[in-house]
Amino acid sequence: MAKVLIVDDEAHIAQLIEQTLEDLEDEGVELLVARNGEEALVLIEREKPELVYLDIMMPKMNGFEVCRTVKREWQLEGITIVMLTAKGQEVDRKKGEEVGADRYMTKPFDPDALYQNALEVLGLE
Amino acid sequence: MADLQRLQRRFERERRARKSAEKIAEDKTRQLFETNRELSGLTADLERRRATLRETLSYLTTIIDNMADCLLVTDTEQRVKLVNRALLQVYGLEQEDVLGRKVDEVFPVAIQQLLAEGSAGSGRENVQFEIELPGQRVGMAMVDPIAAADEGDGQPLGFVTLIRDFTTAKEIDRMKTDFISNVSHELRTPLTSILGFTKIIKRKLLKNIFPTLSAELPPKLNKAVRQVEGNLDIIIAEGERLTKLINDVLDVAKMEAGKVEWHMAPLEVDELVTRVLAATAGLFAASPQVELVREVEPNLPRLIGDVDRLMQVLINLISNAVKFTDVGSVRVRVRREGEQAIFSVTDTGMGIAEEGLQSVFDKFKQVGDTLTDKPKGTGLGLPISKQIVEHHGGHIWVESRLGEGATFSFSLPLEASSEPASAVPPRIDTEHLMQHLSGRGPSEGIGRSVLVVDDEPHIREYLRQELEPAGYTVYEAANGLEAVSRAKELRPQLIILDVMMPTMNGFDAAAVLKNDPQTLNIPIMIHSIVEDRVRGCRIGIDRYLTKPSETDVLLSEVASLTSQGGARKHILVVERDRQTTRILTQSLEASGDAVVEVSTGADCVNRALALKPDMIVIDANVAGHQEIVQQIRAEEAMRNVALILLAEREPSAQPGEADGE
Repeated sequence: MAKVLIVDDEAHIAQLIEQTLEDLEDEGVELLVARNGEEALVLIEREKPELVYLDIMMPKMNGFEVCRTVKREWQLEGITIVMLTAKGQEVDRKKGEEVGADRYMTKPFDPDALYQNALEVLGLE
Repeated sequence: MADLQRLQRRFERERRARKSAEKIAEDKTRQLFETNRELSGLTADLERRRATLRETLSYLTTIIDNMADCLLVTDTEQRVKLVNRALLQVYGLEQEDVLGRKVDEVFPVAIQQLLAEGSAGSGRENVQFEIELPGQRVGMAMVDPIAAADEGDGQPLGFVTLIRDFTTAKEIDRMKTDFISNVSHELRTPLTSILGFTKIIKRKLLKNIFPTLSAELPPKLNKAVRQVEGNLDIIIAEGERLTKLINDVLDVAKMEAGKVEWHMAPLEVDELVTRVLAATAGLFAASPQVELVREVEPNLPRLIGDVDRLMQVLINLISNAVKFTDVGSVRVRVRREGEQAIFSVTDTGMGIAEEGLQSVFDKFKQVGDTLTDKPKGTGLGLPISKQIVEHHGGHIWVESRLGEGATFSFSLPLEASSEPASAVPPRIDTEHLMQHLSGRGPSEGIGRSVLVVDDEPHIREYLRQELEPAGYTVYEAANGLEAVSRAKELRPQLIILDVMMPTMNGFDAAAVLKNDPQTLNIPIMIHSIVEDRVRGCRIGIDRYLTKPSETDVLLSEVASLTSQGGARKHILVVERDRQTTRILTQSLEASGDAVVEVSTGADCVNRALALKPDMIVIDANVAGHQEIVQQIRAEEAMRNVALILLAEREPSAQPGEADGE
């Protein structure tokens, strides 16, 4: 059972992504939501999702730290991390590379593009 | 009576003498007066000059002491010669504490480091360093050498250091960065929800809800359905427009704040235009009555620039052109003018009135009456394009007349020297030598095969492209090991061998080949990159193999080596390293030529004269090889000897290769 984790402290955005991906549930994918960095790490460790949508700007622990922990410290494999940002700064891209982010999406993103991206990563058609 | 006369005469004489003495006295007195007056004049002058000097000194001191920046003047031994009040204040010191003392005795170590860095880089101007200042502050410092007014020995007399408190400026800079990123986030987040949810609503309505409605709907409901769908499209379109506006505004803000990261790299103009036209294909597809015309001058040298940003400029100009043209064409043209490339986009649209031309690159200005002409777009595209072009050192301008279309053009400087990285050797007439050394016929290559060995695929490709048209069959190998096995398998007439290769380098491969009975008779040509320092040798060198080689030269070399006819050739090898010498010797001897080896440079010129070889092979590692070449060339008898230079790539090009080659 493939799992996708959505991490965003803004309720609307988390909901938006969930709705965008809900058709995946028909393909047997489980959608999980975390509202902050700490919750995200707990869920990642327990559930080992194949795909994680990770917002960057979050209080207390931001997306970069989560990504660094998962990719560099824990060195978990088989998890694709897509960083989401509204900042649109190139320096973020570099930072993303440093912490091991796999992909990068700037808000506002196109829901269809997000969906296609998820299908691709999960290997579903 | 006679006495009286004598007395009178004497009296007269004495009178005259006295007069004369008086006159002398008078003269002397007058001279004295003159001198005195001069002296007074000089003294007064001196006083005046002293006063001026004092004034000037006091003036300069006032300036120096009132300078906001800290001033430190040091001599070549890092002793403090001059300071100003600002410096003393910042460091909490008194003048008498520091004058004449060494910098490291009285100032924090940061200053000494600054001087060390600054004096090391002297020669370069206006280099700034960041330095910590006491009290948690930050400064920007400049260190400049004091040069002697006359020639001197080029050494500075000391250094002048200026330090400016940069703390506030740095803070403001950081605030700008934060502001831009915060605004960006604040604007984009709600927009993400608006656009995102609207698209989902549309999808759900069209996929899940509308289909459930019966095929035949009462007119009112029908209308409602169509409206709902239409309204959603409007929201989405406007949301996307808002997104573009935010992006543009942030772009402008970033550029003004100097916060844009530029990724400058060499790029090909042709490729740039192709990518841009691919990106704007949709615009042309949507406006079938507007034709695209592409005119890019061939063989344009490369540019240095940020490819994404330059694409942004061209795309902006082209989309404007399409936007303002109903029927006609948009011509994209690139031509070279001197050291610049001129890009222009010409449309046959409505054109721009003269009043509008001035402000076309202003922010938020859109042509037309603000009351009647609604803006189509953000009005920021051109100002952003202007910033980008100007950052690259170019200019952007427009030519237009109302009703007659418009041409937007921009210039970009071309890459300074667009010659290939390694210089191409000059063409030198070696025909005499060629005839002497080879039995070359017009179709020299027919029936002959060459094995090209180089780890770089494009070099192998290059050699293939040069040799095949002359009729040679070209085989390839990518390293020494492969070379050996293919050589055994194919038995080519010649092996062209690169020296620096992974796994097994050229010299080792040559050794192996020469020791194997199956391959020891195959001539080997060593092929390498000529370093810059070797350029000086060029005057004396007839042929040498460089990357990329010069075709004729290469072919001649190859022809001469694959021909088996002719008397034994005498070749003089000038090489320092014994092993290299041995390998070269073996390779050359295998083709039936005699070899004499020489190690040192001094010796070789004499031996050359004695031996009169047909060919001299010099390794660039030999010290003074340039002089050797020149000496040999200067000899009349040596004029027609072929000089071959054996040189390597720079060590940094091949990490891991440490053969002492």
